[in-house]
Amino acid sequence: MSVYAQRRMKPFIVIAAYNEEKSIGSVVERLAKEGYENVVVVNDGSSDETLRVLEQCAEKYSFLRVLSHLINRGQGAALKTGIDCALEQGAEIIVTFDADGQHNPKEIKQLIAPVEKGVVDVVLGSRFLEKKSNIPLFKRAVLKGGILFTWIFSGKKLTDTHNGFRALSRKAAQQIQIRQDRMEHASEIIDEICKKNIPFKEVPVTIMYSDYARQKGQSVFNSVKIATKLILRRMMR
Amino acid sequence: MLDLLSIAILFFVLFAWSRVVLRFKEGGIGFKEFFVWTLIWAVVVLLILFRDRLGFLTKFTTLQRPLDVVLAGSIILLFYLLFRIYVKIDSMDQSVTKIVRELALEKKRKK
Repeated sequence: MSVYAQRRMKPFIVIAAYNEEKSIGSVVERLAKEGYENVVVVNDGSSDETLRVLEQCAEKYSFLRVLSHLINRGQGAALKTGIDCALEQGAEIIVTFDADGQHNPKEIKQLIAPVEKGVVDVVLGSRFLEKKSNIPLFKRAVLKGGILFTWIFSGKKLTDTHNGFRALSRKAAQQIQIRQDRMEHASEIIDEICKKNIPFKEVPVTIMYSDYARQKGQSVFNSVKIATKLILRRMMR
Repeated sequence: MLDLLSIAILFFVLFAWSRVVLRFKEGGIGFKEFFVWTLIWAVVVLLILFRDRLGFLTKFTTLQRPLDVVLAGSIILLFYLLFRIYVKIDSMDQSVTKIVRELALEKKRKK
């Protein structure tokens, strides 16, 4: 197998970054330390120094691919750009990874294992499966609401519906259409998996709640906004 | 005989319609939009001029006054138009995202 073909089999890590100047550098470094050579970061129109930090990282790590949205379009749009880039580069496995340092690069191996073995096409990380994460009570309530909402609208009962840590096979990445630009994309991905009968499973992962990550998390108001948008979109179909 | 308020509304309608005609002449709106807005303002004029003959409207509803029927109908129409505007804005939003994403990918391909 050629070097290029070997690299292609290695997972592509796709990260959407919006105003993450404080964390994105260390996220890229931690991924590099774990030996991941295909990292795609999409700067989603950040107004801080995120792009500058990424450009500095790209000088240090030649494997880093940096794309930049001219204006902020949302995590869903940025992930779709990153996934499209990864597919164009020949990715066979794509991992979506958060830019705020909540995800543990050491857990990528266990996340992609079922996809590598061909057992499923999608693996969804779940912070509730093994209770390793120290989830704030309020956040837990909001997430449980999201699980209920997804159960009602997609008919699928999952343990964690808004976890950005997920692995997709090339086939699944091509099948799943992300039309929602902002945070609603997480629900849309699950909707697509159910509609298109894409084989998937959940795997326990750790979400690290630092003060920084808590600051950047979703508010209740945002969660209600997401739910309303999803309902309106269903009406418009 | 028309009261002062009805005359004022008629003048406003005439002014509003003149803006529609101007926009159509400038090419700012197409014939379809010109026709629809002319129809809307024509209906307003008819409602004002023949308001005494609108009693039949209350026969189909539980509302007492013809004006209430007109108001209720207008609110429903406004909600529908709001929904159409939401759909249009959402569609434009998606188009903007498509352009932004494609520009980012194209810049990457050229590197």
